[in-house]
Amino acid sequence: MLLTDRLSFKNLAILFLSLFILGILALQAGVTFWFVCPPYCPPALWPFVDYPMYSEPRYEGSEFEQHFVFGILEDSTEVPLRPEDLNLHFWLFRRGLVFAMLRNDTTQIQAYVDLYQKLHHKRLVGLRLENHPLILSREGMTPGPTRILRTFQLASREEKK
Amino acid sequence: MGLLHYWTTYWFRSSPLMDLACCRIIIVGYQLYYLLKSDFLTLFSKLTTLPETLYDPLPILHLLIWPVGWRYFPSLEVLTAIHWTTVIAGFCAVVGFMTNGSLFLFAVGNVFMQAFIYSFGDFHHPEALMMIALSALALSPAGRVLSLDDIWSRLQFREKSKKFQASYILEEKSILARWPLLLVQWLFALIYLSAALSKLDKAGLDWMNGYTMQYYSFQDGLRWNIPLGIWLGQQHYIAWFLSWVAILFESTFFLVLLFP
Repeated sequence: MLLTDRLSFKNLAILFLSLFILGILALQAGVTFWFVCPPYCPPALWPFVDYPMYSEPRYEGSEFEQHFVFGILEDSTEVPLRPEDLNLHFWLFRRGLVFAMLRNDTTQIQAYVDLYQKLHHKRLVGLRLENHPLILSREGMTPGPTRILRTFQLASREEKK
Repeated sequence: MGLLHYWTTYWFRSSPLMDLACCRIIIVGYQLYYLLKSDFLTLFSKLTTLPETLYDPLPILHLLIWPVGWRYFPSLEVLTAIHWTTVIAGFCAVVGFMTNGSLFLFAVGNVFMQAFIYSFGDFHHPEALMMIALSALALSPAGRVLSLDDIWSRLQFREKSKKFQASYILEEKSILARWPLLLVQWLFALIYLSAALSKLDKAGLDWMNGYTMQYYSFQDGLRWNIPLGIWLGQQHYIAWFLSWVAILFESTFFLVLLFP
């Protein structure tokens, strides 16, 4: 009886674990071969994700973007807005504020503006996003021309490009 | 029946418990080190000050917080409690005290914390495989040897039977000892394949033009202040060679499953 119980527990364990293994492999294979979601899946199925990092090709003359955000205070002073000024790390700052400015997402931008004003007790009346690129060559990187990508007037919530 | 037999033999062949126990100690030990080194508490204190409009829980986090609310925003106190509970569970799992329970708590705690961190519009990949591996370990007999649980059960046996039973933990085996390690191997193979496919899909052979490797080496070198990366960003022909090494490694790694 004990032996029978042990055998059926063992079989049950194998069945359950087999389903677990199949589920894990199916989900990971699904995102790897893009059955489950389109290429470069968003993190909806995290921790089952695809790995498209570093996949974009680069060529001679490709730009390495370096984004800088500047805020304009009420007295027209310009202040750099760095990740640490918003209590963020590099990626959260880049994928949060910088990307919001690039896609003109005024709601998200305002959330970061409110955060800055709360942390520093200073009112921002404008924001500017600049790119200070580096240009790729065989020998490495050389500075390229600085470009202003976006400017925002916050008082009137109007966006200029 | 042939397929079933093959499946059972492949995943559930009798294998040394020692291998699984060593992996438990290494994997959990590493994740514990990562938890303590990465200063999660400082990161939580920053994230909990962000406006709730920026909070977009990952689906897995929704599932974990569902009992208290679909968009529940945990406070710093709650996150701190989860963090320390997870750390304690990790220590218990490493030494093998109530091993499966500790592993389960450790896995859930890590998934919760990492999913919370990734619920603000930014996410990365390094922790994903670790989360799955911890979950697999929690379902395995990873604490059967090299654990306080094992010592305790031997002492209890000696107490009841009034005799000492020598055993060699190196020889102890189980049909449930092999599958977690195999599963991790399979996941590595799929992950490397995903990386290779993404590169070839987006860039084709252009990915191996040398400039791509230069660019990304420089990017990471600048970002993480790694002089080697910045140096490699200026070495076109070395970058060209390394890019071929990288793509060949990623696209053929799955062969370890066929030729272990």
